[in-house]
Amino acid sequence: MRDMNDPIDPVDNVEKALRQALRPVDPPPGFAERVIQRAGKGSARANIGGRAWFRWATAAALVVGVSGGLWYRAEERRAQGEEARRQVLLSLRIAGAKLHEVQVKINRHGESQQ
Amino acid sequence: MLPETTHIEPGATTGFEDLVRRHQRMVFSMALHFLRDPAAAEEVAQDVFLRLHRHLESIGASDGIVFWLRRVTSNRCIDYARQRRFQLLSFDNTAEPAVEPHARDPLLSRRLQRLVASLPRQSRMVVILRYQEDLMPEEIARVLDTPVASVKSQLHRALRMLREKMLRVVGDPRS
Repeated sequence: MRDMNDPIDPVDNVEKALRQALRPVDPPPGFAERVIQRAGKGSARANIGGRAWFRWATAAALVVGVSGGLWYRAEERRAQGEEARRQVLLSLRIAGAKLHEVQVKINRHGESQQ
Repeated sequence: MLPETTHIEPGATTGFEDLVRRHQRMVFSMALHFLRDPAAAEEVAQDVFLRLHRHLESIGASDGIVFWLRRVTSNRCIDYARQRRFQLLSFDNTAEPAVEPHARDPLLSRRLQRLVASLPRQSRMVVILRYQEDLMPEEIARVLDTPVASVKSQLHRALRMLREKMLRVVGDPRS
């Protein structure tokens, strides 16, 4: 039986030759350290990114909250104004009705004297 | 044989470090045999491990780290070659692989590596997964997410092409 390292006929046994040619090779020295260092930097960046994201989210929530509060106050004032206007109109309508009643009574009284 | 279903807790640096040290040879070799440029191979291999670091949480134990690494390395190599329209380097400029002395005929290995590098991208990766990683066509099909029949035909064509080219390079020893 032939060993993996025995000379081979590349044409007849291209598969065996390929196994020899494509043996796994070691990466350059320090490869793992470089990867781990870069991964550490990436994590740090991700943390910074995460904190930035939290700050943006807080700011956005504040803006939404303040805008909502202002809108609510404006809406409340507008509703109060509407209510006051409605009450003035009602008072005027009541006063008008009363005046009309008085005028009718005066007219009737005048007619009965004639 | 390396365990196929290694799984570590996300964020565990020592676990990640262990994974890098355990699988760096496989990932780097796939990239080097595919790209034939040690600097490009290191770039791709580093990128693969950084992706692993980012996606550790989503890689379930059942998927298997080795399967994931093979798949991502294959895709990254093919993409790298496509994007950069990778120019094949002269072998005179290429660093000798560290284990080359084990090969009985380094000249033959170099010729074959050069011929493998001249194969179409997909066929090249099929050959690397078959003869570097010793995967069966069904396993290669899973890694490359391609039909088994396609893998078998690519392998068959690649071997025929390599045999013919070797015949032209070294001449027919039977004649």
